[in-house]
Amino acid sequence: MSIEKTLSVKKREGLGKGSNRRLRVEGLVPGVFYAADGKNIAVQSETLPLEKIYAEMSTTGVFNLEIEGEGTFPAMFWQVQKHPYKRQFSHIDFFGVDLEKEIKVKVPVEFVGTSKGVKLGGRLETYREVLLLKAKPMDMPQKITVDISDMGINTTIMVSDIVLPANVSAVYDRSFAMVSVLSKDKSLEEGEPK
Amino acid sequence: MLSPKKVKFRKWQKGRLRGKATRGADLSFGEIGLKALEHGKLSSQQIEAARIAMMRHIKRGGQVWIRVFPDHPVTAKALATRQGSGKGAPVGWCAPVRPGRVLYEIKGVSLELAKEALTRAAHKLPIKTVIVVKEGL
Repeated sequence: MSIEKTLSVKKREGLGKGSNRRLRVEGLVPGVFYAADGKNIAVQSETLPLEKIYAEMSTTGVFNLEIEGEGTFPAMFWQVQKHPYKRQFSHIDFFGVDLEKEIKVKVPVEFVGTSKGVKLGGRLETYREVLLLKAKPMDMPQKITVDISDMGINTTIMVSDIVLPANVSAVYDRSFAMVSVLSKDKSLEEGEPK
Repeated sequence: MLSPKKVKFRKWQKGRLRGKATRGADLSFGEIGLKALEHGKLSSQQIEAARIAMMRHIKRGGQVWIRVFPDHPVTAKALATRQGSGKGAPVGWCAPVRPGRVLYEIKGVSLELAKEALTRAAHKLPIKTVIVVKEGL
């Protein structure tokens, strides 16, 4: 499997909040690239291509990060800081990955289907929406899909029950519950807030 | 109405609201929520009125989370009283809110129903708000 997407960024000269604020006014997003060999490069990116590639890759996909004057590196989005209420990025951490080394990434879990228990009047309780997975960067799935249509009332799917793709493993000490179908709770029927 | 069970001091200084919310600025529990766009102080009455407006629209099912708590005492002097003679008596509680703060979250109902419920809640609040939806929905 080869890396398809490429994001071009420039090296950032100014450091600190003053120069970063000036960049944001110009419509650029400051960031840092943490290379696999431990080197850090301060970078700046255009907003639009960054938003497009983030919408596609999220924090689980690998893409080529082309840094002007430095070269091209396989990378992932490691941390994304957003403005508290405007829909814009304020800072991005890119993580340079070694394609042969396993990494740990939090992957979203999607529950599909309507369980038998819910049809009978039960209540679906979701405990975890992300799962920490360990795999090589190219094997990392975008999301984990769990089919809950066979779940009856008072049944639980544990993390150990989830079928993961090949070469991917979940990281946990003791198996924990991901989702349960419980019998209906009276306090919720009355609309009491949490 | 929401209020603290016990406080160390009955009367506080007002303080000033500056900056943007750094905590409580993301959806943590629900699929859709109401986010503040302005600074302001939400009284416990306003928080409760918004909650009731929302719950009456949702009717059954779903879960609602209130992400702010009015733990800040509000004082007022009696009407037709001259200035001076110390700080007024406590009259209620408020929650200071900065822009970006998530106020309410909903889960377990359709997005259309939740949006309408949150719009009704927003009409009860003294600040501008926006409806935010969890990424990927």
